[in-house]
Amino acid sequence: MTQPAVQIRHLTKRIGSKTLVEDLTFDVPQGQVFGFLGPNGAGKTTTIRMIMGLISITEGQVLVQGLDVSRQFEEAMRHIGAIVENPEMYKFLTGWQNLVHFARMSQGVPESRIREVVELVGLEQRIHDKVKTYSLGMRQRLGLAQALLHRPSVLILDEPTNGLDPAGIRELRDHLRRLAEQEGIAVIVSSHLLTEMELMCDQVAIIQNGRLVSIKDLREMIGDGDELTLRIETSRLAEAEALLRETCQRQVLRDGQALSITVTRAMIPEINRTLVQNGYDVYSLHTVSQTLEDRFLEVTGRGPIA
Amino acid sequence: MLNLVRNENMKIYRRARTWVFFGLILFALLIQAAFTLRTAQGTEHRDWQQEIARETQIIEERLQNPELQMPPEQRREQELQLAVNRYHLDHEISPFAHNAWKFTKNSAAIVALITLFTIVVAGDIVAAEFGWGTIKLLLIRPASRTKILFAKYLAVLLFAFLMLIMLLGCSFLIGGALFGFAGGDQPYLSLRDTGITETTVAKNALLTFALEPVSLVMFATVAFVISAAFRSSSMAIGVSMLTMFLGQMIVGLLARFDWVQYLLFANLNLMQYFEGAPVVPTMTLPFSLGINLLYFVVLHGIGWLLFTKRDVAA
Repeated sequence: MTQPAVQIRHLTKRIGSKTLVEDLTFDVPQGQVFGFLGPNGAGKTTTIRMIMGLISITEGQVLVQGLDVSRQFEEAMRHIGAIVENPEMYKFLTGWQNLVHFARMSQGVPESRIREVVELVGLEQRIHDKVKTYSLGMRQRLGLAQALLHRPSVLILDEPTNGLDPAGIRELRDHLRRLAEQEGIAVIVSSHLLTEMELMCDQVAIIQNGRLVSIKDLREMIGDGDELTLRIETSRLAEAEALLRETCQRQVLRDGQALSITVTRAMIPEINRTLVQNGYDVYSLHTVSQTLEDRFLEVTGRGPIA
Repeated sequence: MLNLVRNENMKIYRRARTWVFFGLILFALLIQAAFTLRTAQGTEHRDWQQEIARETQIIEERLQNPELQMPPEQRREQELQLAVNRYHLDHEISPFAHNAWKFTKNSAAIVALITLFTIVVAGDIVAAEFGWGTIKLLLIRPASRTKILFAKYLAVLLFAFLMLIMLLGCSFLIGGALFGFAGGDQPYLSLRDTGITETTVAKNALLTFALEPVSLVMFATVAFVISAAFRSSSMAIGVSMLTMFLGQMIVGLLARFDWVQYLLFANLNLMQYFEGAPVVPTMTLPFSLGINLLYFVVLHGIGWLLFTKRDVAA
């Protein structure tokens, strides 16, 4: 069993009598995109900044590749690349100069690596322009480039999609998934955007009021006995609805131009057969997974944000 | 470490502001040259020997007049002037004549301007990273906060040093080009509480340039520490400039108290040990250097503690 990329043990942050983060313990495995989800003020940013040493740790421990962030700061930081919120760069410098600046702060980043990273994020055309002329999307790419310069094994992104347009979000998501899958980098992403996290992450930790509420594996295999919501588009909708209600003995809902029914996985082929054999034209038949949003509300409840 | 300093240098010299500072120093030097030229031309045609002889005579009469109850301080000043005048008459050197060394000595006044610019750079160098939001990318590198802080301070000192070298070099060259390089060995007389002391013009100019930077470094340190501790450029620059302008005034107001000698401002002007009298008569050069060092260490201690321990939250 390989060592987790990041191990968080009883992590606690108190300022005065206020506890911002309380007794968090979890692992982030190598090669996974790990989501960190919670309402505003839940302690996501505090936790992430404790991992990077920006905020001091009151109690507990953060190990990055087995290195204690508080005691072996410089060694631990060699493994970390990060974008904290919107990546703010030196606007009066060019993109290239910004990368040279950060490359100098790590050991063993030759110029060829800077070029490689620029290519990776697709900034070749504008890299020698001043950052103040960059669009937000370009700054985001430059931010990713600076985070990857020193080939970190852990990539941390704090609210990375803030202010990005849908195309930018999608681009970032593809980058992150590729990094995790092809280069085995552990990616930690914090966000309050549920759908984004759902598309990006392998695992999601949900925190509320500084405590870990739940950890969900989003790539879980779905078993035959699991309940799923099935969405069916077919001809003669009203008749089909009656037919399914009778054969399945389940509640069938009209959902726009489709029907929606909650069944076990094993029942799906049978439903399809029934429809086809009775002469219905089936246009589409697909499962709708329970969204992260549903789970999120389920575990965090509707409590006030505090 | 070297790379960290290179980074800080890049961030200083890639900003247009820095070159405006260098330009302003040169501009101030040119203004000084223009003024010096004008006064030189104004005195050229006059018979300086006659003028000085007359002035010398007046002073002699005054000093010998028992009815004029001159305070001892004023008396000594008059004696100094007398000695200076006699020297010029004896050696047939016009007191109005200029040379590269005198020009350089006078240009030391521009060090105040350099101090001002250094305060701006020092007050900005840490706080600006917070303002830009880049601090979050800077502090998550394999470089401890202590190293980053040290590199920044070194970069500030380098900047000040560069400005000083430029001022010294340019003023010597401009002065020499306009008035000739000779005359560095002319005596320079100054008044001390012990009497009149003699040195050369060249030595005096170099001494001035060696001592002026002490206060420059101290003000830069004040600005730097406030910048690192409170993360606000405007506060760092504002407070440092205010103390720069009010410091001497405060010392002047409190000069009658003995404890004024423990204030930083009373110890910044080290020329007081070579010309004129120190703020408190018992003060010595090593004492002032010691006080400066003490403030230096305590200030940096505070700055370091707050910069390395405080959370980067917002």
